[in-house]
Amino acid sequence: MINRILEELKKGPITFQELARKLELEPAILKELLELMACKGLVRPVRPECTPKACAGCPEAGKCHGPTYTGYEAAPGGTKPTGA
Amino acid sequence: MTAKRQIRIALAGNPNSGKTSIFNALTGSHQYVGNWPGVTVEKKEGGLTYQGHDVLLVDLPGTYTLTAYSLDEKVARDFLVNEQPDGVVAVVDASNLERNLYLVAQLLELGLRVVIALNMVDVARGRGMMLDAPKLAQALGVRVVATNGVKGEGVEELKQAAHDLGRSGPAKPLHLPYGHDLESAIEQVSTLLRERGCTPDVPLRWLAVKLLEGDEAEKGRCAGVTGLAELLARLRQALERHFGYDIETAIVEQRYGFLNGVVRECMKRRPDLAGRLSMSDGVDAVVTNRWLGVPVFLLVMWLVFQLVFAVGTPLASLLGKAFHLLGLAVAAGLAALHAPAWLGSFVSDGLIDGIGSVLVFVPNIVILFLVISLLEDSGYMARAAFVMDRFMHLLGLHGKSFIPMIVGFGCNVPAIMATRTLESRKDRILTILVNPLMSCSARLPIYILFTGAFFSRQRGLVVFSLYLLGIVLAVLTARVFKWLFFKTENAPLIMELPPYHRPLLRATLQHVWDRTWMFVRKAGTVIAAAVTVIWLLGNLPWGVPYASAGSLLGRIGALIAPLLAPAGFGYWWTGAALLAGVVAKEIVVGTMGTVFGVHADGLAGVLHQYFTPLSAYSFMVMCLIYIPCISTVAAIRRETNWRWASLAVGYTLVLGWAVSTGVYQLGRLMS
Repeated sequence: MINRILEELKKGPITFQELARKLELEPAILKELLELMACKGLVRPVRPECTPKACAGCPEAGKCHGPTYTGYEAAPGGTKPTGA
Repeated sequence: MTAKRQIRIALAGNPNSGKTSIFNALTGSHQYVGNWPGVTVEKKEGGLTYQGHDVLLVDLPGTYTLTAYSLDEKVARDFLVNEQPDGVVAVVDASNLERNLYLVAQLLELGLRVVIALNMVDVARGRGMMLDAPKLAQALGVRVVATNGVKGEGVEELKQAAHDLGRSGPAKPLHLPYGHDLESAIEQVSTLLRERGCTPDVPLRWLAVKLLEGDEAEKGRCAGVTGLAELLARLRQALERHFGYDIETAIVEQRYGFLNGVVRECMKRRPDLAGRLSMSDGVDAVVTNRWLGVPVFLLVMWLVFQLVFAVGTPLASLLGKAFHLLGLAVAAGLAALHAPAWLGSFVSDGLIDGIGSVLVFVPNIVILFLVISLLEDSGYMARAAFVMDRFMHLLGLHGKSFIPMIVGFGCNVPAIMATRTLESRKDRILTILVNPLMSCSARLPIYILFTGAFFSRQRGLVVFSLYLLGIVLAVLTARVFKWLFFKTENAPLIMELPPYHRPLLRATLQHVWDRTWMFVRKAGTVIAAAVTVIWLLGNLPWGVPYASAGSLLGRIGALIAPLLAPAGFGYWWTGAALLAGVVAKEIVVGTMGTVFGVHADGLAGVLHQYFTPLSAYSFMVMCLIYIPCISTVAAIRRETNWRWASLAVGYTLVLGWAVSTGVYQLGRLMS
């Protein structure tokens, strides 16, 4: 499943829902696998966050909606094992 | 007389699965609290009597897995593995089934007698999940009791089940399928252990899996087996080479694969919610479709601009009349007070006409912000961002940069700030450099003014074409810069789309208010200051006719005018307006209002004397592309350095001139 996820990721951007459907996985299971892969450095979580430093000087400071998306991207190095 | 046998039952489960309330419901006031030996982890035991048997219930610390990482997890795991209780009541949070069943699967592999207390079923039902407890029992081969620890539901049945555990025969360990390659490795390790006479207190298969996982706590078991270390090392190396990742990951992956099958078998969506989800999936099938996604996004953009003009323009016209009346009233008032002529000129020509020519477009701006807020709050913008991400990826570019830009159609500055989400510095700089080509709301007054004057029937389409041009130029420029400066890999994204939901009116209106207030406040501060300077320059040297070619403003603009002639608008005041627009793009319109002493409605009439539809379009193209405003340049410098900020200023200036000139000259050739 993990290699299938990485294969799908190589093909291009994909939504979480579409990936779960393609791999016939329950969304919660896919989420657990992605978190596992993130722990092992196979993917990198993408979770934009507002920080005081980033927002300083921005005219929309404190007024923007916050993260519009979250997700995961392939980590550099592809599927190299990271060790236990 | 036969002594009553005490049945020892462990209560295990994930943290926050409701274990404590189940424990309290089962034991009532018969609880004892102490510490686990040698550690400062609380140990809770309780007793109950059922059908003449004493049942000792041991409440274990919450744990997600039998691979212990924390002290709490170690205590729970040591008790389950080493103490071998008569049975385990596994408390499972039904609303988080997949994660909770992971521990249950490991308990079953260990060969423990297990009964599942399926807790929080009401919470699961509220989230639209319908669990088939008998199917779950069949899939795992254990008894499942639905419970509600808080309300005490299912407690009697659970007592019965716990009592029966203690009186049942040995349980058969769950043989979880690990796939061909891992099974072969498990078999080799199990065979070696068996042949070497290792007889651990745990199932041999379970131990083999743990040793392959590299579980430190199990290394001591059968440590003296000859050849074990070498076999494990060889198998780990081969399997890691085969999978491309470590064995622990591969084993966890297989466990989740097994659980996926179990959950799909026993969990269904509520029929009413299933319909809603199908509709959501159906919509996503279109809006994120590989071929339809971009056209749908462009259609949505086009509709947005149609709305901005259809609803906003009549209101803007009313506001324009109000500013006109205000100008007349103020002029009359100042005249009645015998105020000096220069004061009347400043207030009327400078402030009211200058600022008014920008503020008159507030209705259009409000409509734009309202529609964008609705699209954001409904969840569509995340889909649009994904579609653009995929489109950019097709062109070999990093699509993540488009994500903040799309939702930041309001202002380039927050979009530049949002590039901090890009880990790669090269990706960040590339994104920042092309960001100013995405049209912001400050340019909208310019578009509205000129389209109103020259493209009244196709206003929405013309403005849409400008936004589209900005996106196309951003993509092409990014390709060039990537080739020149930034050769990086593009990492595609698995994007979690938020569910669609009905926007909350109050929240949407708050967003619209916040953004509109920002626009109005800018008019009252930056633009007011700018038009004051413009008015002064239009009056100096003192005595020249106001805003004439002989004024300072005229002379400054005249320096630039020859360069603008090939683009079709080589007038001193267009030069002055574009120069002033570097401060804030709205000031382009504000300058025109100040120079001609009229605001929007009047300006349209004036523009007809100097522009044609072709030169009007090329002027809007120039305003789209040329130099980012000062705030944007400052943001670029802050996020990068002076070198990249200078490049941003330089290339947009050249590109703006080149494209607007190209549009004008090509248009002339074709007409």
